[in-house]
Amino acid sequence: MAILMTPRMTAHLALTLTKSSLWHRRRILLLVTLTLTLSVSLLLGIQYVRSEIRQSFTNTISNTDLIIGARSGQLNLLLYSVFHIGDATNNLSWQSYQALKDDRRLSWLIPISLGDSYNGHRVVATTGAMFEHFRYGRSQPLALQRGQWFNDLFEVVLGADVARAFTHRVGDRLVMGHGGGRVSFARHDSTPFTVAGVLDATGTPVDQAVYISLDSMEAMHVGWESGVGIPGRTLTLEQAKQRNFTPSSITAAFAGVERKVLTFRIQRDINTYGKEPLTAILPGVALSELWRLLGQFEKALLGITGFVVVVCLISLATVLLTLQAQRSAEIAILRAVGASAGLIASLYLLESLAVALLACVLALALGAAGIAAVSPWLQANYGVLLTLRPLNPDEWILLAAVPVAALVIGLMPALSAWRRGRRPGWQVLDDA
Amino acid sequence: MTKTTTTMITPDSDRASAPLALSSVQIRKLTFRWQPRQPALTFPDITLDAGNHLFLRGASGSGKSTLLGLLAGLNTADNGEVHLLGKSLGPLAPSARDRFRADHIGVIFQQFNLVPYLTALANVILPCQLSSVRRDRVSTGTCASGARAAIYAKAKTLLTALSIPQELHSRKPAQLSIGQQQRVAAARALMGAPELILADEPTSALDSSNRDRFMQLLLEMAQQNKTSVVFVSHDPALAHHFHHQIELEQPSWLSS
Repeated sequence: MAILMTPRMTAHLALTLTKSSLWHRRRILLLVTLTLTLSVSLLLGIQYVRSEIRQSFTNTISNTDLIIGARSGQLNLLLYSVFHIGDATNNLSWQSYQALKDDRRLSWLIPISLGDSYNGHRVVATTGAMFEHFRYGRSQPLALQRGQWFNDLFEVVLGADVARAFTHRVGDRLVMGHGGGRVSFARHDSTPFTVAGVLDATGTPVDQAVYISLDSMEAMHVGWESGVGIPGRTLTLEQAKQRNFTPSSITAAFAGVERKVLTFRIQRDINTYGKEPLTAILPGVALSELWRLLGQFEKALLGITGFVVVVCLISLATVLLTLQAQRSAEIAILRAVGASAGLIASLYLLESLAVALLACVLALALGAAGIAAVSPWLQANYGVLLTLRPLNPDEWILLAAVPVAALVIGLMPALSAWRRGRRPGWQVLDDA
Repeated sequence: MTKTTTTMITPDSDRASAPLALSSVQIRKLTFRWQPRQPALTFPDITLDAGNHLFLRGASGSGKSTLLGLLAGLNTADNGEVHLLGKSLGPLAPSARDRFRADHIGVIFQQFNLVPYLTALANVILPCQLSSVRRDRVSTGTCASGARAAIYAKAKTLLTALSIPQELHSRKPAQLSIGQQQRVAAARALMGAPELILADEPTSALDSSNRDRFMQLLLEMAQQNKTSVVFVSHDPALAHHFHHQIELEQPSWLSS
């Protein structure tokens, strides 16, 4: 007698009903989806930022075997020499630097001298060795976007972000401020610099700094012995070119070791150097110590992620169960008209799934927009590079958990609808 | 506890040997309890011939809705038998009962009859989407592509016959008056010419002119389809529309 309804027809009906139902309640569903979207973006965002910050940290320096500075803690030395955070407690004398240079076990040496700033960006005085030997990320060398590395007095090479922030081009003239800080009250007005080149973006603190030669650093401080420039005693470019500058000290030096097995012995030799108290650190070790320190922060983030997951699940459950409570009258009607328990269960599941999937898509869009908006600020202020990248497997799992959880939660009322379908009840509305 | 108030129903003993297929509804020694420890509701034996209309009257608590639930296969009896169209509902699995309901029964509730997000027309078509039996009844003789059109045409005809004007067909239930909603529900119950319509006080929310119109239209169209109707109400004024009537008495444990 009865020709059974084909599964295709039932599926079609379930989809049609779900579509109309979703559209009918679009306002409340939109709010619900937004709640869910925010939870999911928070969850995904924290996870994403966690892995990005770690990546950003380990990317800052590479291939450098030793960082050498005046006697201090390894974190302090790492922070001021690599991250340009904080100041050196003391300097490294030029004689010691020369001694290091003569050490044949070191294959290269990059001297850096810090102290001045350009509109809040660190001025790093160094040599051509910086351009030649400095590596970051996966052994990537520095590259010039435009122009060339400085090779004369009062020439400056800008980090990518500095050039972008002030829209400087090759040939522009700029004046360095004396001392650190965003606002300098004393400026080296008499010795303006010319932009020789702009570096490619690296996503490391390099982008935030400007590079000049050690000689320029010395030259612009002639006449500044008292802390302010005495007019008439500072040099002009022409005067400076006549003179030879030898710095009395530098802030730190990066070194490459010829034979890696000797690294620890060289480190010990430097740490026990008789003529001056020095410290040599292994950047990798220091970075991991720094990360361990920040590990508390990471653990806190992990804890927050955990809470966010729980809150997400609860909000997901609340929201979906509320939605489904709204539908009991409609379900009673459908059952009376002869809808099977399976069809009704599929209505609940489809709705949960639709809301969860929409929330996931919106969360991805929101997250991408958020990262795009925040990352320049983060990089400018903290030197942390957040890049937009495809999600890693962990993050995909996290994201996929949302519709799966929604299905499980959708199953609860679906199950009870199914159970109710087997329980006595004329108008299901009455015995809900 | 219950008694038959009219003699128009043939006493059951006379029909005991008659084949069940002749009657669209037949119930025997039916009892039901909502809670295991409650006293059971008992129902009079009823036999209703195909195409006949039965008025079930009773005060609240007399089990009118419960009986409809049993007939619709939404409730299951503790004891006794329910035969619809010669088929016993008792042994059927829940899914088979759903199927049977979709294929052979139209239901009209007191209120909230319509799926809120579907238009009046879509609500009327619903039975044909849930049952291929009822769909085929509407679209027999049409080719596959014509079936859809035939169903829509039938739904429109039904709505118009129940005096729902064309311009209201595409409205959602919330935009219809209660009287219109109930008539749309009647059209849905009639769609695909099911053998049996169960109506649970469908006129209780209507004023008297709307009520009479509703009764007249529903029963007229049921007559045309040769559909049996079991109509439940507490309003004795409706009794004259029906071939048969039965009064359900309030069980003594409820009135005391």
